[in-house]
Amino acid sequence: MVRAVWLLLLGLGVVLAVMTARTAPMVAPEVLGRTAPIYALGQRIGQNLRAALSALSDRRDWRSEALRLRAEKRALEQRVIQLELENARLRRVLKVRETQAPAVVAVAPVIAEDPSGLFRRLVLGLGAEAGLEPGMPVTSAEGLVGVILEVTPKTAVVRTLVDPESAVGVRPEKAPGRGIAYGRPPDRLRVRFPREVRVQEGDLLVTGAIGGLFPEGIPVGRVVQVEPPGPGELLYWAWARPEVRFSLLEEVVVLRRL
Amino acid sequence: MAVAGLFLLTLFLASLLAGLLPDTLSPPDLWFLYVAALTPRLKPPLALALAFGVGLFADLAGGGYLGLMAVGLLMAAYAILGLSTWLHPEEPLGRAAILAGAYFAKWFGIFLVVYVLGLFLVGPLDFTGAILSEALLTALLAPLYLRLAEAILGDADHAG
Repeated sequence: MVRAVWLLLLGLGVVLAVMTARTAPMVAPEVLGRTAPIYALGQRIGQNLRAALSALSDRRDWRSEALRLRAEKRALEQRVIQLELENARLRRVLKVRETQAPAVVAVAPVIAEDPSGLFRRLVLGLGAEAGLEPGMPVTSAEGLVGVILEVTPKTAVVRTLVDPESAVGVRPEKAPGRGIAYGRPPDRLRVRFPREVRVQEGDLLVTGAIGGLFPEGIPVGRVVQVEPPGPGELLYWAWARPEVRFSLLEEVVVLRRL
Repeated sequence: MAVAGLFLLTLFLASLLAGLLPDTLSPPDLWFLYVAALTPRLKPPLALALAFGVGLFADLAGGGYLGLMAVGLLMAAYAILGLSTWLHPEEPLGRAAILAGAYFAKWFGIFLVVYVLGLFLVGPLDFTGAILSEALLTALLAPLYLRLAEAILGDADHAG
């Protein structure tokens, strides 16, 4: 029974196909017209869903593109900052080279400060491996920083001008005569001058000791107060403020030992 | 009533998937799944007639040659009826094998009509991509659709 029905329908299908091969396309619109609303509704919803998914996918692409560009921008900004710092550092080195001494050994980063408050010492991020040795002058573009006290293979300790153990030979920039500047923490220099040397507030003091540790002419500090000599005194004292702001130092220039 | 409801739902889903899927993919054959869902629930002659009728509707709705899908779905329904006596439709693996056999039978019927009509302008192998895409999507959708049909029509053992 089942097979008979199957054969019957199979034959009917084949005959139908053969007989309507030419007319089928004309019959179809009749059916299509009746089913069109349902079909159109489903297809429109499907197309809208696909468009929505596509829009979401595009949006995800834009988002990833935006993230990539943002990361690239950050990297470029960092690169600009690095280049600016490098440029500033090289300018400072150049300035030191032009104004202070041609014997630059290294440009060293300041990695630590003496936290005690008793001494004003800096720790540099370079040491003996970079050619640093005790006794080497340390300067910056602003002026003299100090001298290297001791070194390890990778670090060096600098005694700054304001360290109580520091004594630097100085002279007024625009006047003859010499004196000695002693460190007075946290940020002062007490300078001793012979009576005949004339200094006044605002004068710039530069390195100037004969046969001293430092090259001549490096700015040391500016006079902020003068204590006039008493009757019969051969020496008098002045107070100066260093040109260098030690707490703001990020790197220093180490010069060859004289 | 449930059969008609599933029919309308199938029509809607078929159009929805046609709109949703990109043009490069052949949509799943929901009419085949419709026939596969109904055949075990109806008396065999009625199931064959329904498959033939649904195929005829699909031919008309698709604007194609009358008889292509009609014969294809008829073959599918017949294969389901035949394979169900050999395999175990109550087991998932048996159900899958019956569906796979029915799917091959459907395409056999379609190519039979194509052959009779002398429409072999291109060889059957040229349709491989379309058939594979349709087969894959149909297989993916089959569990969902058949569960949906079961929810609408009730369990196959008690229908008829």
